[in-house]
Amino acid sequence: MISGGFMVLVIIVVLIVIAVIWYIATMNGIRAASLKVDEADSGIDVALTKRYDVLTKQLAVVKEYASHESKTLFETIRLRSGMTLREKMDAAGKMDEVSKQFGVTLEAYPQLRSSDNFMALQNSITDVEEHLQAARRLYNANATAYNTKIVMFPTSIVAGIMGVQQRDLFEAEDYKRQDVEMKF
Amino acid sequence: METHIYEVVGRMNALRKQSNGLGCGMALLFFVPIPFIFLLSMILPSDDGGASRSLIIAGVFLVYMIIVVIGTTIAGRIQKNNQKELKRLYKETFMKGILEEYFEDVDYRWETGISQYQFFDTGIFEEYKISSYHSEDYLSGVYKGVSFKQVDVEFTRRETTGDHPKDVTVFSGRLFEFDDSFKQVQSVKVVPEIEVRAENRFQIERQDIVKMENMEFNKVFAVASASPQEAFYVLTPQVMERLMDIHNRYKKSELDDGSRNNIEGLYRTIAFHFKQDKLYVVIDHMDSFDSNFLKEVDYPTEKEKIRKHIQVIIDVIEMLKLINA
Repeated sequence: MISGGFMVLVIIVVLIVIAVIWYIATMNGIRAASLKVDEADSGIDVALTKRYDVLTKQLAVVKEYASHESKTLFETIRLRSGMTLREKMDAAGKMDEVSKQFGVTLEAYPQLRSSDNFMALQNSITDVEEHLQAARRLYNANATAYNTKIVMFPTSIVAGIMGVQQRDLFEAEDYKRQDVEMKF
Repeated sequence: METHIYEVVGRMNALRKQSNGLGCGMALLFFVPIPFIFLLSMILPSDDGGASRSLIIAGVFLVYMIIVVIGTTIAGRIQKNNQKELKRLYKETFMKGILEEYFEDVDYRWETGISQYQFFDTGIFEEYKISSYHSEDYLSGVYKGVSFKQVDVEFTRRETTGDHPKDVTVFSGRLFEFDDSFKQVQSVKVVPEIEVRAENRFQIERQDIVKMENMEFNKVFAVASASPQEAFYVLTPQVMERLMDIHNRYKKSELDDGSRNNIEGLYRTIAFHFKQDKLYVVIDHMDSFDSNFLKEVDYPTEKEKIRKHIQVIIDVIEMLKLINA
């Protein structure tokens, strides 16, 4: 015969094992979600670098005509590894501003706009901007999923023990949300 | 042109009547002699204990069976030829003219399709235990500068439930291919969310499923890509809205008054695959450019049916804004 005390002990052990398994699974879930956010974050780095490269080429095309302010603003853009999200947002904002100013410069010089160099550049600009938008949206989607996950009960208990923090979102106000033709 | 069309309609209706007449004739040939054979067996004398009567009846029955078999074979062959001719007239006379009204550079080959390899190379469906494959109605053309191809495809899979293997139709519908996307990606698939949860006919790895930021979109479609950033790159908020618009336009649904909507060619499944420089679209349960040849052929009605099939191609191009700006 199995005694009542032994039964209680077995139940307690089973409950502890279940709790430990759940804790480990939840912890892994949080880490996996955090990893996804980090991956998306590095996607923003890549997209920002590409955008900076295209902006450099754009400057080469318009440098004779560009205003002193836009050149100075361009020189203030610094990309380095390990930038915080705020720094990335600032860099993206500055690139946006420089790009806008270059655009205004180009409007005054129609001969520049019709050059082959410029046409190729224009396509690259659109493409890198779309890549940056995609990277930003992916980051925000993953960060939102992560933030939701760590505040939901009972995952929030494990998140609290792990000491994880909510992730900032990459703000979108500086970005154009224009409808881009697919151009098939 | 119109006169020629109506001559063809006349010929088609004549073929249809001939087929129907043959059907009735065969029914008469089969059923009418039976009472006579029965009567014959009743009235024949049975002097020698019934042996000669049985012999006569057996002989008559044998002749009857031979006539029925020969008649059925001939009638069946004539009906088959008629059906083939009806289909040929329908496809070659009706279709080509109407297609040329809407598209440029039309190449329509109704008996031709694409190979099984080409079909599965689109990467939409899983090539697994395929027991039969058929493709026809190859069409290529250009609409407002956008090149497209379309084919009808049907394939079955051998499935074993209990001890009895049976062939199950996995897909029967239309495949579209649109060329020259400027957004080149390795692979981004958009398939019905419900199918990924249920049967999953599609070539999708669960770990590749990407959740988009649009919750409504996620309820309807599942997105799969080895690179989530590619998925977000192709599926901009605007593109997601357009895919939803196509879904809402063609899905089977209950109308406000409780009736079913009756748009020709409602589908069960619509799926998209952005692959390299191509966009593939599959629409299930939508056999294109076919008609019911048992009913009288009416040109305006048939033209309207064909126009609705054509409209699907136009809708995908227009609604997804594939046209060069």
